[in-house]
Amino acid sequence: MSALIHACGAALLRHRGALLWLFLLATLALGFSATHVRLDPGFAKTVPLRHPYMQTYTEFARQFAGANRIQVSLRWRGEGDIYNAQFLAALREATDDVFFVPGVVRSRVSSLFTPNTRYTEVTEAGFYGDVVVPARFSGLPEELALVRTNVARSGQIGQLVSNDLKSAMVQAELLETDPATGKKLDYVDVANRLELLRAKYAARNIDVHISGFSKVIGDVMDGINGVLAFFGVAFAVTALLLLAYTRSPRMSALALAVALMPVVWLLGVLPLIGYGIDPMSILVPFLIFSIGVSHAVQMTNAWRQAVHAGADGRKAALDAFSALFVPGTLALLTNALGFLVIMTIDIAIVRELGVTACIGVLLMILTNKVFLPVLLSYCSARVAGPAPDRRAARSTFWWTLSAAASPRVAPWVMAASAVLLGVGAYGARSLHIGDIGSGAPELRADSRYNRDHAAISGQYNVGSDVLSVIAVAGDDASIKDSAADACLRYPVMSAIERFEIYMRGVAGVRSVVSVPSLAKVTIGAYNEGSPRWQALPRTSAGLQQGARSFNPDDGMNTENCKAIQVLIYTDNHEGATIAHVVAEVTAFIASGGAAPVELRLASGDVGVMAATNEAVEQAEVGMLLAIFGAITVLCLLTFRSMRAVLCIIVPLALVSVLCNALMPLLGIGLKVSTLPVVALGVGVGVDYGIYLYERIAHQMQVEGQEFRTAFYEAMRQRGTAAVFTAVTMSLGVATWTFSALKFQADMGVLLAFMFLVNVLGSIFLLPALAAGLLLRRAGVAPQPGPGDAAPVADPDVIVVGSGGGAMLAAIRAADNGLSVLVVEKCAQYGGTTAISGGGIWIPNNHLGEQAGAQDSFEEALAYVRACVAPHFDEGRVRAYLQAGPRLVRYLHERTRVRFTALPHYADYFQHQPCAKPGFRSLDPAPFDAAQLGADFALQRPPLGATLIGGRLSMTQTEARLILGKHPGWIVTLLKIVLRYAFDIPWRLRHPADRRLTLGAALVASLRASLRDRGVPLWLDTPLASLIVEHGKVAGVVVRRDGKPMTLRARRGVILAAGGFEWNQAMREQYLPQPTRAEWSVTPPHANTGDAIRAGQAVGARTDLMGYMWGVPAVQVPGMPHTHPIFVERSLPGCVIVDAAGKRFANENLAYSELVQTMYARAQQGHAAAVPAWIVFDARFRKQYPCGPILPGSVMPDSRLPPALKEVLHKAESLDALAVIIGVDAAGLQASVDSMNRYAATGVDEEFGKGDNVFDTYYGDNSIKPNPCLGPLAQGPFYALKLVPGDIGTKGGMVTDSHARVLGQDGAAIPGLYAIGNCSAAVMGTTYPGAGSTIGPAMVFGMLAADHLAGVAAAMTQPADMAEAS
Amino acid sequence: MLNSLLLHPLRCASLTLSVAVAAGAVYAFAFRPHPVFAATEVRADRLHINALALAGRRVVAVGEAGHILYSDDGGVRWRDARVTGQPGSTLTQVSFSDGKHGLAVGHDGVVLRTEDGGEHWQTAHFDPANTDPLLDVALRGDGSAMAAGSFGRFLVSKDGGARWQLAATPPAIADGHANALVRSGGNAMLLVGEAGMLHRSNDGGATWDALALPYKGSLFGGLALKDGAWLVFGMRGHVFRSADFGSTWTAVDTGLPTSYFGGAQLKNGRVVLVGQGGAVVLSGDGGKTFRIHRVGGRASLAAVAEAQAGHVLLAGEAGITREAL
Repeated sequence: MSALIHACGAALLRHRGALLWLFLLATLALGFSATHVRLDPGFAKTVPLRHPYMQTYTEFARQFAGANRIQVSLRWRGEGDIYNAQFLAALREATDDVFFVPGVVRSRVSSLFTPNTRYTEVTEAGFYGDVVVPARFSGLPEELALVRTNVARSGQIGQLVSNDLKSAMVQAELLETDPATGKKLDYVDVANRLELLRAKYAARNIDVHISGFSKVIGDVMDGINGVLAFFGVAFAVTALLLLAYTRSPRMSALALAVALMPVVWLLGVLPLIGYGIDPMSILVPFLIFSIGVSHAVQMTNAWRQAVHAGADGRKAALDAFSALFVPGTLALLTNALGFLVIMTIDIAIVRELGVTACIGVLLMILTNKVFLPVLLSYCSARVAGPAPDRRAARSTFWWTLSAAASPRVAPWVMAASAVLLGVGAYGARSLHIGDIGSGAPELRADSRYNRDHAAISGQYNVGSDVLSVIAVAGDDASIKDSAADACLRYPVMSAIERFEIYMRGVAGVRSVVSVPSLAKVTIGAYNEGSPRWQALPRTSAGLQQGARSFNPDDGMNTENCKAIQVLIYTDNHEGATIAHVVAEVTAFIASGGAAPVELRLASGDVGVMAATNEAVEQAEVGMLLAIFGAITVLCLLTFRSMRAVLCIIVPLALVSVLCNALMPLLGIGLKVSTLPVVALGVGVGVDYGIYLYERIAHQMQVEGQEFRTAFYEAMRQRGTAAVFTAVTMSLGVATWTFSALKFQADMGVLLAFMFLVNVLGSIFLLPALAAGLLLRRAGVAPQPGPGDAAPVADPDVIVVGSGGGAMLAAIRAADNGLSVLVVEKCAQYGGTTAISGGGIWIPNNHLGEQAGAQDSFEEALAYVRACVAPHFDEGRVRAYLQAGPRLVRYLHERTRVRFTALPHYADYFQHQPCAKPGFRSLDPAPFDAAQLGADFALQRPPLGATLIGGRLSMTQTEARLILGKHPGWIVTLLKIVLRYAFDIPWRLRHPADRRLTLGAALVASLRASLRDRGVPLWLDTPLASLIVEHGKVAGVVVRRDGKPMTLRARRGVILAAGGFEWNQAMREQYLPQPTRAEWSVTPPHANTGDAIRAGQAVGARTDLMGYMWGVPAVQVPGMPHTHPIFVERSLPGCVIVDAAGKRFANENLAYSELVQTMYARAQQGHAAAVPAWIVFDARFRKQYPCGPILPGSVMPDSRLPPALKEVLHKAESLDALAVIIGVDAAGLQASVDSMNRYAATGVDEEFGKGDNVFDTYYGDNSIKPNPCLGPLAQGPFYALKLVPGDIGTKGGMVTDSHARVLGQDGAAIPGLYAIGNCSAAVMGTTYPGAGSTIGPAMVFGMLAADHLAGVAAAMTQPADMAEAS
Repeated sequence: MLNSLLLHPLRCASLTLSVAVAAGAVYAFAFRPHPVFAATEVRADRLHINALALAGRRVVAVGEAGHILYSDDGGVRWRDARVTGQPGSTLTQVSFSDGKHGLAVGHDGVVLRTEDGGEHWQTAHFDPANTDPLLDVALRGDGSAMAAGSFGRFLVSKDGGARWQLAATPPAIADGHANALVRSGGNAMLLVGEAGMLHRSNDGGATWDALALPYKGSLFGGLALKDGAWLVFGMRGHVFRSADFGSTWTAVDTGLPTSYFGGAQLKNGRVVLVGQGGAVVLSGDGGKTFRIHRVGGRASLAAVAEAQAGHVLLAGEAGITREAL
């Protein structure tokens, strides 16, 4: 992955000229396009169209007066009331003005001058009605008096005329689509046209107040113009911060320019995809700019660091790109995800906010991750400015700050968080859905619009807060003519009347108007105006009297009264009021009181708000679940650890709760505008957590630091950037607080809170949580768990060590009826076995036999005899070869351990008699870690080198398949990856693959079997000495919690504690020189010869102390141990040479033998081969791994980490390489020439490399004629220094065929047994086959346990009788 | 299986806090009680009321869609009466003979009875086939009752309103609308109605004779004053006063051109008339002259009653309001 990114970066920079122009042109083009971006407000966008209320609204929008109404009130400033010629002339003119406003439904315009405004009069002669203002009105005094009377009689006082008779209004309704042109209504135009009225009449002593959604939009648009000013302020603030941070004006300018780029692009893209900017998404450019700055800062920072480290601009750009592409892109994708989640809210304006922001962030990946590196590559060091401050003081600062990570402070941080949580959760309860306060919620209370609105509300009886319920008349079977007017059906009218009366009694309702109440007034009017006649007659004929009240033109009902509006005016539009009123309507409907009428919610301003509030309320939980769910998944994918998820999510959740508690404190309700805040805040705020956690995990896992140090490092490296980001973004959005638009101000203050407090959460709460969750295993005193029952007073057997041999011995002893205690020095169990291949070399095993192997005890004996020759101990070897097959049967029949026979894993010495091409080495079958439960956390993890990508496990067979590119390797690889990826239950718990293979599988299956038997295993319990009583070993002294502790064993002690490879003194005492403990491959400081020293102290004899299980290895600076080279040597295209440049062995000689040969070289008078050099050419480098160096196709030279660059020497020619590595150039050239010749013929004339199945096992099958021989033809040439590494030492206590330790006199020391590397190897100085260390360790573990139990005699009888039971 | 690591106090604290935050978040986001609002009820100030009557100290109001409200504290708080077999017809008038017994009439010929001062009512008469309204009712202490209404309807009952029949000798009103029965303390009564209809009875309504009035507009009601004078009032501000039980009538100018639909004489003798457009006029001289107390507004008033000394209840289209006079 990283290699790929590096390659991409390199490719980018290769074409940097073209890219630079491309981006500049794109910016120009999009900049031009951006000039076409238009404001695109709309009523329909602000409402949840799919909400059932809104469907009712849409269905009846044309027939009924909807929510989209405008009211233009003219107020007379002069003397007296409105009944003067000047005012009425103005009113008539204003009526015409409104009439011609685009989008106005002209039939519904009403004022004193419109024909639909009538008065009625009851006289002795009957009922009389006419228009209020006579047709030929000219303003004469008697006409004015008539108008005054007519108005009084029309009942319009309080409606079209203010209660104080000083104002009159023109009312109109707007359609979303202009009925005249068929185009979408341009609200800005409408608002401007209305605004003109204000100026026009101001000169005529008349104030104009305008109310209505379109005017709100207009005023919002005015506010948006102010937004540009905020952008300027934010820009300036950011620039200053940048300057303070970088202390380089050029660097700051660069960052600002690049941060502006996605803004320009976004604004350019919007017109192209048919989007506009609406009042809410106008905020997106702010966000994009802020986010852009923070990412630009990170990129430029990385670049500067590289420049100050000495790289040129281009190189530094590549480094910055490589380092930041993945985390930066991930962070941006997280942001995009946050914005994407907002789109789940079913309100178009919010969706557009989400879409716009999403596009902006995605564009930023291009501008920031592609263009910025290109730009930087052209910059010189001069641009970089002064070097970043690295004073110690700052370190002290971060160290102090990292106190939250210490176990002492963490509980206090958590307690404080708990308190905040309590306060927050309590406060969040009082959060209200919907608006708080009156007036247009988009605008501030003192805005022009809201003052107008208040004026109109105060002067007239009309409220704009109206909830419209639509009554749909059901089909009444008793009425034959279903087309009959429903308003003439008493049951319909009566039902609506009941509903009206009910609603009048609902708290929060100011008044209710509908057809029945209007009809009753009309009927009363027809009956001499008597209130007692105002009732609904039960006959159609009677109801006919009220027909004037259900003229469809009045907008209260549709044709034939199919649908009838019930207008419920509410006291205000606060969310709580609306919710209560709607709930009461719903309750009435549910009670069945409306039959036979169907009441449908809802229309009107309040109906729209109710729908919006409900949509917001419903969306809230869904949105939160979506954003937190998405982040959880993302964190799981990134970190593969549930603990990571907790550490990142918990602070975010706490801050979200606090934000919700803050809202009621600031008088902010949960609305369309504030709903996305949490998602935006969480989506952006999660960056901090991810960045910090990623570093912490890195420092702990790779650098092996303890938690607080790791956190300190993370803070030092990423903390400044995180804080800078938080501050920049908070300040950017905080400027919104001063906006004229209330929703922008609300969003600003809340987002600023979220951004800022989220970073505090990451700095304080995250480490406090992690302090508990990431508790270092070693840091905890071992305590016996339930599976590890405390030992009975004195166990029969104490096993020292917990590797493969030790655990097998303990299991076997338990099966033999003995009580056992296992003590382990380290904090993790598994010993060297856990990091090994886990194979055991057992000739003549039943698994091979079942698979068709041809083998026998005799053949095996002959082979071992030939290999081991001078050190051959026939008794022990016989015991081993006889017991081995029994061990395999025992394991398969009685324990959880399973092995697989490897048909092609050949013995190491194919030229010796009776060597076999396969089946003697057994590979542990994969084991499901879930069987271990919590114990898994205590198992020593495998070497990263044996895992794909350091994480995915593979078996021996799979490894060979993939490495040698044997047929089907791709499928195998894919299977491994997919199986890992889709193991979701386990992914939730642990990053490690649960399918354990190799040594991990063996150790895990042994551990599980041990636990089955209830054998206690004490970790952190090193052996100090042995206790001898009455000439018998009677126990051990260990150290527990730093104090010596005596443990007695009734029958004996089995020492299985490994060799002494980490004891430098012993190495220098026994092993050939030079020798270094760090050259060992085994876990650092584990095997220090404790058991051997303890045995020697009680008189044990030792042997083979000068030998080790060698393996050529590469030492990498900074790595705690060396990197072994087991199999790569067999691949074609390499030579291993000594200081004279001469080959001295088959490169693929069994590793132990090769190391011995290296030491032997100097003793034999040749040039020194310690160190030796493995030399290979460019083709080998590209295709194969070699030790820590991954193939060049995956990790090209330029991508190599610095430590590996030091290790891998490189030169264009062999001569130059020889000079660099200090070997004889001519000798090297000669060796290579020979090798090239052998490669052509396929025969290694000197050492026979590749002429046997052991060599070809790991050869490259695609290379002919010999898969192990290839020319070193292509420059550049490479060399790695090989040191004589080891996987353990061979020498130790001399034992007999029961693993009993022999004293100086050759007699067994009673009660003392030794197996594995603390005993002298049964294989002498050699290594006959894969598994020659663990195989004997386990076999002799079994034999020791049998002997201790006194059943050894029975065991040695032929034919596996004991196990047959 | 529990593991030693799980039991470590710091880890426990971390896990506990995580769980607490999860729980806190669920609590914060899921549990949001709405503020409590007053319970929904029929509100006297938002119900069209056509008539008020006193039943002892209790005030009973009837009106829109058959609703009956009563108040025991002079009209401050109201309660909804129980009506058995509520037909939902709008009620036009209510009359009590004492503190317990009362009758209410309305549209669809509906008559409701109460025997407990207005808390419980039973439907005594309901004629959905003939939907025209009864417009007034009179109940006497002896259980005799009469009801008059639209299209010349004139019903009598002898058993306190349980059973009704056409009167044996009804006033000669043909199919005119009889708008009100005006009663004095004794047996003298007036019947007023549309187009100047005016009839007089001296025998408690058993027999009637027609009177002539110089005005041919509709009369909506009348009052028998304590001093023995009679008032009738009607359309477009027309009020007439008679000191001789209807033999002669004097027109009274109230200063307003609006119709009067209800009136009452207060304990202190003042006369109040209420009507169209919220008009309230007062007379301190037994109805000889009036002054305008209040005018203007949209809602017409239909009835007035003295709840407590100095306070009247005004009832009409917009419900009941309490006002000091």
